[in-house]
Amino acid sequence: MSRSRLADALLSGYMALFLVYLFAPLAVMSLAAFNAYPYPSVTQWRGFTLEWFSALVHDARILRGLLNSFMVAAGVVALSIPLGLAGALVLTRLSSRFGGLLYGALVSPVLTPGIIIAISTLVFWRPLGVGGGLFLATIAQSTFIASYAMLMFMARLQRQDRSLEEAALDLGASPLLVFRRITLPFLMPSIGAATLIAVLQSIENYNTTVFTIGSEWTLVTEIGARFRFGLTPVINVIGVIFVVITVATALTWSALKRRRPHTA
Amino acid sequence: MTARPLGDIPPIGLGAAPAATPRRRRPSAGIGGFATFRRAYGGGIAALALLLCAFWLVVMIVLPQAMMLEQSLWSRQSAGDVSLRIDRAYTEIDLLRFDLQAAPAAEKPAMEEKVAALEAEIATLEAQEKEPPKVYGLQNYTRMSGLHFYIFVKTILYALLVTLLSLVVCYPVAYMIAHVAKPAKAAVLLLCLTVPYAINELLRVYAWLMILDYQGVINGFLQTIGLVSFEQKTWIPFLESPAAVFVAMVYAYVLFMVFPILNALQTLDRNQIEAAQDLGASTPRTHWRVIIPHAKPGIAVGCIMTFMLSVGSYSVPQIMTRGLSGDWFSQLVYRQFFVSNDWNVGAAYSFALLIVCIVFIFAVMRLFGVGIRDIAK
Amino acid sequence: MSASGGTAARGRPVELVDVEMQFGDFLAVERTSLDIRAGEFFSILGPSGCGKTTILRMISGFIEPTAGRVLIGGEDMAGRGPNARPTALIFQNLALFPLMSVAENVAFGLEARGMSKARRRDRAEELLALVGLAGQGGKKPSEMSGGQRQRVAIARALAVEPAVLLLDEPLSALDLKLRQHMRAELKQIQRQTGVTFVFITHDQGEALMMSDRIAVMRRGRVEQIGTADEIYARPATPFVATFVGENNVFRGKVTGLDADTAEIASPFGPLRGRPGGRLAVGDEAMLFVRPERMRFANGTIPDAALPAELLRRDLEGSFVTLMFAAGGEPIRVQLANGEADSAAEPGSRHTIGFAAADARVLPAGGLAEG
Repeated sequence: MSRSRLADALLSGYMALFLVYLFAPLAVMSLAAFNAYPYPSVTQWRGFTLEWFSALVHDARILRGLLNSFMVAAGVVALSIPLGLAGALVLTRLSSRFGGLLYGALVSPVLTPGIIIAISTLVFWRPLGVGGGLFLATIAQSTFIASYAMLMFMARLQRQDRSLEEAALDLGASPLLVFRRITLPFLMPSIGAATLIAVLQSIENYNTTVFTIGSEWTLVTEIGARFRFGLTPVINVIGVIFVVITVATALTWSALKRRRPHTA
Repeated sequence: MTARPLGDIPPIGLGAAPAATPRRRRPSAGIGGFATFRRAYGGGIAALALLLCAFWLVVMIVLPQAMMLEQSLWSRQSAGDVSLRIDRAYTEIDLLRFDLQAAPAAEKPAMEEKVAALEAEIATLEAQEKEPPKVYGLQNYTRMSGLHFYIFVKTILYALLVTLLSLVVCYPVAYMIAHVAKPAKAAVLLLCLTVPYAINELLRVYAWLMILDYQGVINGFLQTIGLVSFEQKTWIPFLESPAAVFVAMVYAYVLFMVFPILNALQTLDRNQIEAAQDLGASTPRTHWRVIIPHAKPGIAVGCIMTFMLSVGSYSVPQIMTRGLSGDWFSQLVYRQFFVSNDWNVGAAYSFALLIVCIVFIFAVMRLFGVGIRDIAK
Repeated sequence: MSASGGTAARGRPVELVDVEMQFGDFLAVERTSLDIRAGEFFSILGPSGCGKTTILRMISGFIEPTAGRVLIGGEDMAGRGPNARPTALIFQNLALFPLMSVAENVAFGLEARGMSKARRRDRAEELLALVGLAGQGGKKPSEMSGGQRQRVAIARALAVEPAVLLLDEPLSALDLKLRQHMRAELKQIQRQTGVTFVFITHDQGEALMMSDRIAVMRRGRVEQIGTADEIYARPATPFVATFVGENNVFRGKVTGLDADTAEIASPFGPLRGRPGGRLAVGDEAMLFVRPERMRFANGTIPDAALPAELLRRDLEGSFVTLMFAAGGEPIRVQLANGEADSAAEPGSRHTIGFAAADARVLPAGGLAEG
């Protein structure tokens, strides 16, 4: 008994250490956002300030990057959700000897490094006269985000009671009505979740975007560029905002989950 | 009629049935499959779904990869040699023209012809100089310099190490959340893991930059206890060591290991653990014989994701070195494309990286005995 | 479309002409012809995997037979999908749409036919009243009990005014009491609407009680078609004899045969019964006697007398089941309570028998399992 208690204590200690490992760097980064020192630092403390927040609001490149991020994300949603849905429908309902191969091919972008997806996209579109930019970043991101969406739709479709579609068909519904009234409403929660994931993945993406963005920029590639020159605590302010949004979302989510424990 | 027992099958005259899959009773595959598909969703939706699928597969996945491969298999002949020949031809024409003025009338037509021939040659050479001919071969791969090859191997080894370390670090965490912590505590822990997971990769890495920087947190601490001095620049240059990239990479991708393992472990019935212990198995033995085998698909997914992310990571080395030095393979690829402007070599490097990933995926699948369907879920 | 619950007979006949269904290398339904009359309550009875659901899916149009034709009301249904056939199917799991209200469920078929929203709502309310669920249209299916969901499914199917209603074991998920109640209700709805009912079941009691006619199926083949009485009293094959109701079996070669008596040489000596099927002297045959036709062989001597030892006596309320062993073979005897010799103790020896008129001799064949 005492041995297992010791093991539990060790495990708890390890867990605590792991959480410190996860959160301490974020704390350091957040703290530097409030330091008056012009270079991000916590060791050179020059007093508390909010000036980096106002600097962020006036930083035109960052704001434009944010706008570009949203535009790319919107394009990614518009492209990857239909693609993912089509892939999921074909793979769950079309029984074919090529099913396994098709599945492997459509899932492969998830398992491919982002830079390779970006480069292949770049190489493919150049002869067509399309160079790096927001459009190409959207295409490249959609290639693998559609795979994530597809996996989510497939998981849901596999849980669907097929007799519902059959019942609707039997009652005289056209296949289109069956899709609109039965299949699509059933998929709706997954479509919502996949859209959210697609937006997050798109906005956060760096490795694929930096290769395909050309002379344009998104919020994240702009942050990446600042490391080379012009690193100021404005970047830390963005970090703080990310942390606050994430924590707030997580807390809201868990509060909702606690209120309706059976729906989640 | 899926529940039909096997012994119930009536004898069939020809008996030409393939013995391989007697249990599968799908209506025949291929064309029949499409008929069923069309019947389920109607011609419009079925055709649209197939069309979108084909677009995604062909235009976004297969053709780009194929073209990247094609691009990696040729290079333009060096233009330097051609330029020299053009210069020589021009000189010769000038000489001929000079001679032409003094030459006897009988020789003039022959010399003029020679000038015309030279001018024609110059035209083709100049066209060649502008658009040198493609030469197919493996030269883009074989010409990888010693340094580049060293970086290539180093990147793979580091990525393997990152994967292994992440696995070791994550397994206890996943196990604790799945089976040791009480449900309420497990939920809180899960939430704690989600927060850094959702924060941008760049910013996560950047946090480590601030810790390891010359005047970062660690050097600041060392200064406080008097070991280093900022004024005399005697700080420890953590960032100049590749270990900095390594540490930040583990930090950046560790959670991609936790979640797959956690998902797999959560499907393990606790009674199995208790049964093993009840039968007298020690804790390590219980893990080795019961828990880890169950977590295999999750471990496989975690390893593949972590390896894939680290071996192809551009952000982590870029930030940790502030883009100043480039000793990660992805940085080499970036430079081939956007600095040297040599897309052929860039494509070759990129394809080499893809091969590494594919080999790793198959190795992991073989090692853990899992299929592609277990991996992507 | 009539607006009433419909008392006019609108059922149509269903004909299967030489249909056959093959899935890959598996023959689910052998060449079969069925003639289901208009307005009939027709059951297809058989163990799971016998092909009865396949036949139902061929009629409803989810699958096309690999050979043969399906006619409804004389019209060939080839090439017409489930949404273009005058049939409605009640699924085994009911398949109520979980995201729609009960009224939306009932009105779905009308929505598919383009009926206006207001008329749909009225019609759904009428149908819900017909099945005893007036005023409950606003609920979700998940908020209803098993029996209520059953009624919603029936109302939803009736809403499209089908000529043929197909039922795929819809009562199997209910508990015994509710099941008995729903049987009576289904039968009543069938009479009231005049729709042709094709009812699939593996429960012989259910089939015997509700059906005008029954087809008994086994391994993709129809073994017998007839009224409940015909099937019970004059089974055509050993399988039907043992699958529908219970029967004692005696085996032996046919030794004598005329128009209304067949004699077999059993280990108990010659036994006689009414012949059925194609019999010839010398064939292997089986003689079947229902437990309730067995008698003690005292007093009036029946046509057969078997010495047997009583193994067990089970009192089942209005009747008593006696389990005997005769020559190593188990024999069941069922007697009305009071008629049974209450003094019979396990281990006691008796002579039991039956009248030749109560026994049926059939060519030997496979029996029902269990």
